[in-house]
Amino acid sequence: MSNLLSFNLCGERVSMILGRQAGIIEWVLRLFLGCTFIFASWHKIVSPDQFATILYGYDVFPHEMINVLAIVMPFVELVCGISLITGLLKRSGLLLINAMLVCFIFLIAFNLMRGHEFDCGCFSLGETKGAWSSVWLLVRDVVMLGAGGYLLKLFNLNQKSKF
Amino acid sequence: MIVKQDILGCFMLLGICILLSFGINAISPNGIALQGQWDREQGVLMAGANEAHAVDVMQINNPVSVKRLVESGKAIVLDVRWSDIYDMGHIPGALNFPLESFEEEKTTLLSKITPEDEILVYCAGVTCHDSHTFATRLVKMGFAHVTVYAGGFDEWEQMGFDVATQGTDP
Repeated sequence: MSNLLSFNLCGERVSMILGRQAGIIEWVLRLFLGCTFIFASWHKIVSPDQFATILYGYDVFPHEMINVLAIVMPFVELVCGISLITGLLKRSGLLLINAMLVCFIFLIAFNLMRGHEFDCGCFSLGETKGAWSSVWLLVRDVVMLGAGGYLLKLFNLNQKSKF
Repeated sequence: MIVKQDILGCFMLLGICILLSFGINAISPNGIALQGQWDREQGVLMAGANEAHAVDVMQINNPVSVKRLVESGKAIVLDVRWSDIYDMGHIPGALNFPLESFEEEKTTLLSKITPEDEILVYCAGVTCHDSHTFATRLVKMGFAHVTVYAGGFDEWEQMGFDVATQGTDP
């Protein structure tokens, strides 16, 4: 009887430690993705004209859409980053961040496949071009999408454990 | 698992973004127009300023007309690219005033031009809008006869026109 009780207590402690670890990982990932997107949005908000030129350089967007995208996109990054850090609509913010990352990956891969050189415009305006630079961008976005996917899984686990 | 609430939240966040972005763009001095100029045939490719800050600047798209204007000596030609790039090659007689050092070199610039002068501004090419930004600043300062050479130095060089380098300028 006493063995069974101590086994139960031990199990509870292990699950508590695991839960705490998951909480820390969730916080780290939220901070990482949130800060990355807020940081990435800043220079685009300050210089929308330069960001629009960079979007033109991707050579995939209809010309009528370039300016609208250059105006709205940086704010989507900013608001989603804030939502992820503050926790206000964090699941929706994360879904939008993951959706953006999927779009970025498709864009970079498409341009890489057709050999089209472009400025990323991700964290600064006027970044270096070249195939290796694009491959690096692709790897970086895939890693961030992996982090985003894992964070969504953690959110789902937390939601389940509440019920 | 994605639930209905998450999707609604996404729409709510996007709504906030749209309101915020268009609102800030309308009042910001760096705001851009809703539609840019992305047709190479029409001149310098650029987003363009929003209505509140838009300034009309003349553009020349014909390199032969530019050559004629330069050779006539009637216009003061300003090259707004970086100094090291200017040194490697520029339109003969062009003065170098990089856009980045506009504020620092304003006094020197104003000692060389007057509001009555015909001024031609150029930068690297059709995708470079530094010339347009520079020309806009001059127009705002009261210079009435400012024109941008849309094709810039790339087109000038491609046409096979004379190029001056450091030390070869008259």
